[in-house]
Amino acid sequence: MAIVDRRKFTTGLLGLGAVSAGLNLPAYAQGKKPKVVVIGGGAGGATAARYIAKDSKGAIDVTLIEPTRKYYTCFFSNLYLGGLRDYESIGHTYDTLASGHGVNVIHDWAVSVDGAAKTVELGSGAKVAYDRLVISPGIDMKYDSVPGYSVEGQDTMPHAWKSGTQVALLKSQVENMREGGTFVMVPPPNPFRCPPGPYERISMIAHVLSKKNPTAKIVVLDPKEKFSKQGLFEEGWQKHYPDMIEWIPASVSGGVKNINMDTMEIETDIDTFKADAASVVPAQKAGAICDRAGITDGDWCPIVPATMQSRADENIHVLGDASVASAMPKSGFSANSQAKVAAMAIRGALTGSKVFDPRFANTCWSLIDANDGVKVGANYKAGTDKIEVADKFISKTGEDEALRKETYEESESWYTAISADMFS
Amino acid sequence: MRGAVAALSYICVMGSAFAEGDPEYGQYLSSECVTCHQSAVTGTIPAIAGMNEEGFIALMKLYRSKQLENKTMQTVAMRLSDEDIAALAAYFSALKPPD
Ligand SMILES: Cc1cc2nc3c(=O)[nH]c(=O)nc-3n(C[C@H](O)[C@H](O)[C@H](O)COP(=O)(O)OP(=O)(O)OC[C@H]3O[C@@H](n4cnc5c(N)ncnc54)[C@H](O)[C@@H]3O)c2cc1C
Repeated sequence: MAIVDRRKFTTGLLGLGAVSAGLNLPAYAQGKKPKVVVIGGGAGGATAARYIAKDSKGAIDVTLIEPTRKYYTCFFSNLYLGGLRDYESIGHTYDTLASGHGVNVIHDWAVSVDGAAKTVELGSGAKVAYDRLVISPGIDMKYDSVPGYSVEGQDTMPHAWKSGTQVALLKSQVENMREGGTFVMVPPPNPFRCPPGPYERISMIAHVLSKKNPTAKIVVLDPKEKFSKQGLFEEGWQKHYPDMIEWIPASVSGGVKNINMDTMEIETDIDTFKADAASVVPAQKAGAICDRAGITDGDWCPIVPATMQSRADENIHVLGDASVASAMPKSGFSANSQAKVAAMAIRGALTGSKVFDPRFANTCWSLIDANDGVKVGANYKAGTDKIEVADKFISKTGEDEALRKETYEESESWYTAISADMFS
Repeated sequence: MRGAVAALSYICVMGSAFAEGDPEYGQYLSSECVTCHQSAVTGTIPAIAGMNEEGFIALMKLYRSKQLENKTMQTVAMRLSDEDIAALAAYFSALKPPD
């Protein structure tokens, strides 16, 4: 079968004589400059484009397709909500990827993928050919997962789960709440982008309200029974924002039955909550281009752990939130780590460079209050079927203030470093 | 689905014979470090480019044995063999230190 043959050639790194028969020769063995196209210039895609271009030293042609000219990170968007960062500090351009690494950056949408012809069609109608395709489009929302919520409702009760102007909108809605008003947060069901994210958001909104509007309340209508770093968050909420936050799991509320966008009423079995401001984060799925590329199974894209290749198409690597990375959470750190593994595999396949044992890592820092940082992290290895945890850690409840401050400062350093690792 | 992709079939160049002093191996391992340690100092996380080789090895071993605190660094160090640490030390010590 062709698939297997091609992989043997790329893997075996055989002398050219041994593969002279091949229609399936990798591009480098045919003397052509191999082409990699990357869809999506976020945590996964920008890192992959940068590492492939940088480490292949011009031997691979890298094209990055990304509609926006400035990428506003979701990571640290909660700190912006909390007034601890300004908006522009979380925005990054693609200038250095182009000028410093020779990445061909095209600001457009990828609208379809022809896996047989190995081409990507752009919004402009142009087609871009690839030898390997990287897809890292992040998430799309399943708006109808919350009854009454809709794409039109996203400005009334912003999900703000893709960063950008929605976060700015949410921030102004929080700041303009009436005195003693109610903020309602509806977190998403599993699996979703950034497991501790909704709870860090709640913390940062509480941080703002405790200063500007101390009699305000926050109600969390969670479809889940437990959440990431729960013990740490609950301890911190009690300490910093006593009596402000009420977290209600679905077993108690019966879940959200309906949202009336006009009256800002959120109906559950136990009560109808009238919100003065709200953030509703629906269930999620892989970015729509994944469906169009035929690489989804249900909502997400299964992958081969060691290379992040799609299980459906060996010429496509799927990174970040869109992939089924099993034990790895959907985080920017994970996407960045997966991108490096995929970049190594792609260079190996296209230029014959060495391929080492793949290693993945993640750390997610969260801020509970200014200077009160916590973290959870792990090392992962590529099992045959799944990415598996090797070693893990989590901050402890009851840690002293000095350690929490150090953890927060570490997260600030991480943000600067990972931004550079993606865009410098 | 367009047919399943077979499980991993890339060669994994591993083991001490390849690892020690192999700059490509050091460079690959270093890609995990630079998510947090860039060549310029970024706040409280130190720059490790240009770091003294013996110093690097000693510190990593102290994290690995948990004699130095910091859960992230302990977890990073936990899966590094002596050869891995040597390859990283060789790689980072050869880089230009930050200005
Ligand atoms: C509130 C919040 C806080 C978070 N905090 C953290 C944190 O502290 N640490 C952490 O590690 N992670 C954090 N995350 C998670 C992190 O943002 C994501 O996991 C990460 O961005 C995933 O990377 P990605 O490459 O999969 O997608 P993204 O980074 O979203 O990148 C996808 C890119 O693809 C583009 N795109 C989509 N479709 C197409 C198409 N058809 N054609 C071309 N381009 C396309 C998009 O414009 C986008 O730029 C947080 C997320 C949220 C919401």
